[in-house]
Amino acid sequence: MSIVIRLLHIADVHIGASLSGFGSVQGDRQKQIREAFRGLPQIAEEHGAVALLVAGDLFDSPTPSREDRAMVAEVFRQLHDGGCRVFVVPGNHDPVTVKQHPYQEPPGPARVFVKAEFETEYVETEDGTLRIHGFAFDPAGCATPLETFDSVAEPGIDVALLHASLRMTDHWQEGANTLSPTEEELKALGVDYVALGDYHRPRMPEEFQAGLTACYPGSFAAVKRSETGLRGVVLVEFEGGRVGARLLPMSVPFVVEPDAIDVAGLENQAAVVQAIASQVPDGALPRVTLTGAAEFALDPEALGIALEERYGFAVVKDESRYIDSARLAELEEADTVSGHLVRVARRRIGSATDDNEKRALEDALRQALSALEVV
Amino acid sequence: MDGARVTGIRLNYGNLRDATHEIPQEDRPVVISGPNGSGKTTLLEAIVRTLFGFNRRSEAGLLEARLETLESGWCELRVRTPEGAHLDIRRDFHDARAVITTVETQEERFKGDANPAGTNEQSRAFREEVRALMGLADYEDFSKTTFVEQGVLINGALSEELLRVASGGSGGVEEAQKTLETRYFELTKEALPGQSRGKNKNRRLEELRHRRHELDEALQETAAQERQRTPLATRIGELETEIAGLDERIGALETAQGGVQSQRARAAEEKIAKDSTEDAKRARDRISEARTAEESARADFGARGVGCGPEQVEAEATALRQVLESLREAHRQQQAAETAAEAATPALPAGSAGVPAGVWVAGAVGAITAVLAVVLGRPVLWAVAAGALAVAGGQYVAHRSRVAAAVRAAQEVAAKAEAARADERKKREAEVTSAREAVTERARVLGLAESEPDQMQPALEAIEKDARALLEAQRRLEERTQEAADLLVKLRDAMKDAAPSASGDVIEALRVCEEHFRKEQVRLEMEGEGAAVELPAGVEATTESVKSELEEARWQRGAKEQERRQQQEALLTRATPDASSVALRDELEQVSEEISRVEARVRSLGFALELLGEAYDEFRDGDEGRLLERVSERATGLSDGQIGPVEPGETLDAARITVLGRRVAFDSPGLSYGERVAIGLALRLGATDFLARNGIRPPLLIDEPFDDLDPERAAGVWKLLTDIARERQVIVTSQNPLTLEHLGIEPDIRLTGRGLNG
Repeated sequence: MSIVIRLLHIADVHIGASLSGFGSVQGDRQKQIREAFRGLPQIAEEHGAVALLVAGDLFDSPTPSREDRAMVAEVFRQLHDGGCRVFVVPGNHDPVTVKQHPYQEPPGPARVFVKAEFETEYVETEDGTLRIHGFAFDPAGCATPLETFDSVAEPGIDVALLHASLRMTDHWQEGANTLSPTEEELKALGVDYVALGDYHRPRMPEEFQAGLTACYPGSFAAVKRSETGLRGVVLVEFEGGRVGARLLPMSVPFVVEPDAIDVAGLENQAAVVQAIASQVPDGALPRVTLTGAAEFALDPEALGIALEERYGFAVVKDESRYIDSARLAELEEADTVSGHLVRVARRRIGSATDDNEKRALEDALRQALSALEVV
Repeated sequence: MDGARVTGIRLNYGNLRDATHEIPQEDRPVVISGPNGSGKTTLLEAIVRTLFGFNRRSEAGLLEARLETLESGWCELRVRTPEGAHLDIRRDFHDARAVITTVETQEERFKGDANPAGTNEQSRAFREEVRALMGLADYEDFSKTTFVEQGVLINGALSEELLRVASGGSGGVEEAQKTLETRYFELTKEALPGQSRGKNKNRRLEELRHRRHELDEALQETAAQERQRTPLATRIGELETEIAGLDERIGALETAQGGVQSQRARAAEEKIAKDSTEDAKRARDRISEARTAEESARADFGARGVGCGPEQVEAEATALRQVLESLREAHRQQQAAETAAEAATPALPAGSAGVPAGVWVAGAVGAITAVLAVVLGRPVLWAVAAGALAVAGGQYVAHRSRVAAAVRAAQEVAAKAEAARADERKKREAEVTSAREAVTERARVLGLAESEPDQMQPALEAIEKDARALLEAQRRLEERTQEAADLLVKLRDAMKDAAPSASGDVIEALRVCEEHFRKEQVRLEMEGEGAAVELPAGVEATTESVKSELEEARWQRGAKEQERRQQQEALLTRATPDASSVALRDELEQVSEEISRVEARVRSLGFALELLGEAYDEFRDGDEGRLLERVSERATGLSDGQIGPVEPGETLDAARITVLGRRVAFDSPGLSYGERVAIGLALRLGATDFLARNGIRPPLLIDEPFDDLDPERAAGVWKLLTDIARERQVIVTSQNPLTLEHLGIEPDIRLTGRGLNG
């Protein structure tokens, strides 16, 4: 039986973030994230992890609340007591380059890499030595910290712990406070695993170039409503010469973006809600896009409210069309306010100069019909 | 869509006391019949007043009349809403308060002031509830359209007011506009398109824009601060490079200082070894020399045959000299005594020798005076001269006597002296003998027994010299020995395990030490030759120079370090404590996204209001014609073609209606009473139709619609009302049982006197 060393890798927890994009569930979500974070010791125990790597942005700001710091310290203490050592690098949300930062006192027994150059910590296990190499990016302290890496010519597993935005990738943020290495530079470190943080979408090792075993675990839980999909902790397994990584989803509700909902043929808003519900399980947070020609005055706001009643939170992106629907043609024939409304709207849309105005007018027609309670 | 319907009524109002009536829900008019004073009008009025109340100023008299003798005047309606729910609306006419309860849920939708003239929030809310339910909110509007009181039909006229009321609801357009406005102003305080006034208080969009502005400013400030970090960071980098260089120089200087110090230490050790070697050799030479000298001195001294040690020589020599001196003194005393004896032989005293001076003076005076007496011839002088001569003679005789006595005494003394000298001579001779014996004895100790005393002094001095030389040699030997011992202690300490035994011969020990330190010296010399010190350029290979350079380098490093800390501090202050630019950008992105969404929504709502307003204007453009058309249809319908059609004019007032072939104004005085009632009813029904077109379908309440109509017209009206009742609730009253019988109408509610059910 081959020897396996396991560790947990998280990043971008953003404890203390306002999560304002989540509207009314903002407060609940903050609690859910904290609760999920408190569950880390149990996950570590279940998987026999010898270390937890936190690849930056543990806190959302350099000045987290005392309660959050205490909560984090307690979780780290429990991990440590359970035999799982904790290693942290600061991120660009909680950098050490400001006067007050959360790592002036390390949170609990965690080892926080606060120096601008690589430092190495050793984790001796029954199955071998694990070396964690990390630094806090501070361009004033060291503009090229990757160059300070010294490889160790001894048996063991080397893990580089970084908060970095990969250059020329879709999440690349060029900025003075952000380390922007290339994949080649990471590869040149020659370590067994590069534990990255900063990118909020999980990016597993297979998405990196050959010869580089790196991973972004993504945000611990979606911080923005655009962060769709599963979020959580990456379990890293070193077995023989192979490295495996898989995402362990957390209990915080995910933002689920199903396939676009075609509203053509749906009778009313309730039918749209039902169509969404068939793709988005309860407990998730839907982020839906509506397409197709609606046969009723679909009101995205009202639909959003209906979805919020069901899911607590929803984002509706309406790309559906209504102006060509049979229902409008029917309404248009009547000598009613609604009929006049449809006719006026058609004229205005016909004379609109750009698509945005057309879209706004079409939406306006739907809103006016909705206000008239015309279905 | 059906309108609201009254399904039941309980009341304590007017002459109807604690009455309860179910209102049948049929697709035909509900008929309330009863004789005059039975409460038919009161019942219809109660329905209307429950909804709209009394104006407590303008209708105070009427209200008072309705509540006369009543302790509590109230009415409760049960109404079915167009959506099918049921509401109980209860009004207390004494205090104008009302309660609206949803029957199905028993939820109290409204409770409070329902004064129709009230301007408070409660009364406005109640009116809105009634408007939502009935489409009309005021008694005046209701009474001009769907509530037709007894006797009002004869005054029917087509007016702008009727059009206004009839088109009041606009098919929910106003509500829709309000809904859209509400939604709009929930999002922004900006004025609606085409309007000049917005809201005062900031709304969602303004709050978001304000937040974006704050974030923009914060981001700019943070970004500016972060830009300022660049030169600071560069300087810090330079300083750290310089500090690293200084650290290197300090390290080199410290190493060099150590090397120089090692060399010095080695040189010191070498010198110690060399000194020790020389000291040991010197000590060994000195002690050997001292030993030789001591042995020589001892031999010299021994050759003197002295019977005492050299240390006693001085004492013995002193003693010998003393006895020799005693001997010489004895001889001197002896000779002195001889000389003194010879000199002490007494001489006899001379006879004239020693004549006293007085003799001579007195003689001289007598002689001189005698001469003067001769010369001067003075007798007295003679006397004086005689006296003086006499004195002189006396004195001379006395002197001669004393001399004789002295000669005798001297002879006696001389004899005694001779005897004493003989004794003295013997004594001196004894002393000389004794001294001589003492000399002999002392001289024997010093080996001079054979020497004559006169010859002893040089020998004695020679002995003393040898003795002193021996003593000096011994002292020096002892001194050298002590010195060597002290040196050995020191050298043994330095040699540690290689030290020679402390109990052995000193010279041998010194030789061992000398050999050891000589070897050590050679070793250190060889080591020193292989330990060259590398110094930074420009630094002299002296301790002082290295020390000076080291101090200078350390000072420079301290200054650089201080500057680096200052720059670091400045660098740290170039970042906001609350958020980095990354966090600000993140939030800015979210806020901007939300602003875009809200702005799109605001724009859409603005467009929606524009579209609705435009559509409504278009819709309203034909209202006059539509109203006239409806009235015309109703007039024709209820008169079986005898009245109508209506022809529009420039204005509503100018419209004309055909009555039995004549085109007349609606309020033409040439019309009969019945024709006026028919036209008045046609106007109300037309207005009611118009309301229905606008989505407003309150119950149509007509008090005594058949009065003053001939049976044919009454039948036409009943047919018309029956048609209308298919779309909305119609409640009519009639006090005429014959008409009802003629029309085949079975009343739904029969009222008898005193408000009892009929």
